[in-house]
Amino acid sequence: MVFNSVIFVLFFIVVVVLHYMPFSWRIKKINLLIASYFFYAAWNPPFVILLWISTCVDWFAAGQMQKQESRGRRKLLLWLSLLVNLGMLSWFKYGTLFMQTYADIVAQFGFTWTVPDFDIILPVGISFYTFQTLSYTIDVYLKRSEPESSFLDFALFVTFFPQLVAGPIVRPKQLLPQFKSPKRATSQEFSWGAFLFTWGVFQKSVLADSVCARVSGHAFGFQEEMFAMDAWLSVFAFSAQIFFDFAGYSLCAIGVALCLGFSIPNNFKSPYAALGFSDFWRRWHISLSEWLRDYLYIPLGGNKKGGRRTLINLLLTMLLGGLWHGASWRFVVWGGVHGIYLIVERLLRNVVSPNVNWQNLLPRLVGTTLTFIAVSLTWVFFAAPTWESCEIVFRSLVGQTTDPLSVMRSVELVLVLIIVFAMLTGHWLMRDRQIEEVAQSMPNWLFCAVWVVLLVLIILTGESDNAFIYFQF
Amino acid sequence: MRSSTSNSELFEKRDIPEKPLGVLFVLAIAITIAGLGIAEWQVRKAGYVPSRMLDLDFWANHRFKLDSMPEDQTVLLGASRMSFGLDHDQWEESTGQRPFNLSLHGASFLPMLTEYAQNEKFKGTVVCSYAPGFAFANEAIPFSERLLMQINKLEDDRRSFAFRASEWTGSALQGNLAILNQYVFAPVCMCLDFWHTEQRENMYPPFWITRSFNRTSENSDQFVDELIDQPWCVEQWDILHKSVIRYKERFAPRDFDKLLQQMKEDVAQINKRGGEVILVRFPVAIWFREWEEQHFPRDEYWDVMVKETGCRSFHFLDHDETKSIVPPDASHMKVGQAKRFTRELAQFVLQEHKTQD
Repeated sequence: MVFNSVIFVLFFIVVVVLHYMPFSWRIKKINLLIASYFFYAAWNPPFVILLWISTCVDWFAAGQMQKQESRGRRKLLLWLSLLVNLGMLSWFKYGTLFMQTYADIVAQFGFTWTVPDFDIILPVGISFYTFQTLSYTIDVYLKRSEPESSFLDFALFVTFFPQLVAGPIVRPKQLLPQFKSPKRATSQEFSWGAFLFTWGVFQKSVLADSVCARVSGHAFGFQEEMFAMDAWLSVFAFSAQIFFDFAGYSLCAIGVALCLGFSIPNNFKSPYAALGFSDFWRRWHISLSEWLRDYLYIPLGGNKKGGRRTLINLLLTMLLGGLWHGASWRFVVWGGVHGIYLIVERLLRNVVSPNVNWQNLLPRLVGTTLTFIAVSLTWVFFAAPTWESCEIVFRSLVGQTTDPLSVMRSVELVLVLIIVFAMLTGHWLMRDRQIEEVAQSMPNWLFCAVWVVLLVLIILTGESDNAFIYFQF
Repeated sequence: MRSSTSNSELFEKRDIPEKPLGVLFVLAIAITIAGLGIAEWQVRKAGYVPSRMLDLDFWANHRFKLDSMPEDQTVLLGASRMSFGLDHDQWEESTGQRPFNLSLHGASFLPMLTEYAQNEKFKGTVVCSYAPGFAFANEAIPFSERLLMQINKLEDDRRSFAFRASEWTGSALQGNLAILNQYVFAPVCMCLDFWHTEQRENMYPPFWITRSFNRTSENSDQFVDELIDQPWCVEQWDILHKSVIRYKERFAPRDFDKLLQQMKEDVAQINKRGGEVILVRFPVAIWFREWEEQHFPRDEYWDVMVKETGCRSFHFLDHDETKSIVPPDASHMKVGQAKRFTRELAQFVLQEHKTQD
């Protein structure tokens, strides 16, 4: 069930009605849990079993950890949780990739090994809930937090439907305490949640799907040489598409949770206004960046073990972060390029920064533009379905083509230019602001008019058969 | 105002703008509903009718409906020539049975035929529209593979409540409200329609849908006569057809012998169960026919296919009543033409049956 569908709206109305009935808080939580399982099962019912396994194993492991004094036994329990969660993730997400890679390697030595056809289907959102539940057991192991005393609350933490399939990846301390006392949104909170949901669906349906996807889909899907202008605009269109798609989903999740009385942290903060790559990762998919920082980069030693080791840690974190995104070596390359960006930025920081006043408009504008272009180029690895497609896009970008195509009509070209320009301007203006502040400063009539326009455009655009890009992760 | 939550360790309550949000919410919903209600009334007055969106989800959900049809159900396979060219009312009037249309724009009938053949339940008549440019399109052409990909995931979609439910809501809303006709009123389509005359150099097929036709819940299409008769509309279809053709020419056609072998197996399987496969060649304009003849000569493709599979066949050029039909856009028939063609085709099917009896 996707947020930008009529069936989700109907489902949510039922959930809201039940949530605001005069039941006990426990009954309401059971209602939310059942709704969450139904929400997940609506895609593919058998995969709910994975959620149950993850919930039970981590509940058991964390509970036992608290009772064990022996460090060895605690570690054993942590390994149990890691093995089960990462094992499921590896099998369902990376099984085919690893087997195919093995087959390719042995083929280099003259051996033939045929990859068994297990017909593995990727359970939607498995990477998100795996990371979310792992943060719980790791925190308990490190004694950063106590194990949860209520199985119902813990099951709801793992399964809470607004952010179950595409984040934000919420930490135990952010969500579990909210299940302790009855939650009921005020009319202010409910309405603001509804607005955030509307704004999120608008980004996904109208901007990402109906305009950007139709252009980037041509460029990346067809594996055909294109004119350089088409290639550049297609790359920028994908930059816009993936932002609107994912940030739109995150906003929907935040809005839906808020309508029920829960707070979920922001996942994006005007990322294309980033000045440099470390700034970009503080603004893009914040919940994943923070997860990787806390559970991978810092445990690897972070920046505490010398300059060279810091750079290696950065690269390793980004490579694994890339792999998290998908079962393809192109995602690893994408992560690796970002890792190299971060390393270069770190090395140049002492050379460039002292000589530039980043408070001045021009250096900021140039730095932000260069960051956007560099980030956009990495999306090629993300968007292209094959290595050949990557090569074709890069060749097209520099005009190394023999028989290029126009992949967008003039009107699409204009629409993409308008959307990308508006997005970049919006990010620039919103760099240090929140959407709440903008809404606050708007006259009521204008706010209402904007809301109506968003609703009308969403309804007229209608549903599409494009799922959220991040569902596949 | 505090900044919203972003710290990974702490829970903070979100900030809410200080505005009468509850009132604004109700107002926004009320204005939207009222506005769309008025718009619906206006567009109905202007002659627009509800139309379903053509996408793979719709096609797959439509395919699931076949499961509950009688086992001798007549099924239509092919691309857009079938969805425009076979008139359901006329077919029902002539044969006594309403056909079930499984065609998909830009798709080959061959993967559909294989899927039909593999399902032991079906033993009806299968009418296949032969459009060589799609039937033998290279697998590297993206639109030639999308149907096969959808067929491969049919079983997953069948299990998915969300997927099945999208058809209920689509049928209830798009099937009843003209304002939800995305071909006409989706903002991006309105933009594309507004600037409908330009064409860039060496253009990839612009797969946008004009408002020149309506789509029924039975998966068939009907031109809006007053639009398709206008020169600009014909010109747009011409751009579409010619860019598709130009794009196809970049790729070699698929291995005909391999496809033929698969088709022979499929036909044999259907015949064995008591079903029948009929091949149909729909009318096209002369320039289009010449292009198809140049790349897929009749004696090397159509005739061989008919002979090798043993299927009965109906080629529009072989029948006096149909050989003079010229589709307005060169490839798809208007409602009147479709009725005429369907009547002839149905008579052919019935006459042959009588002869066999």
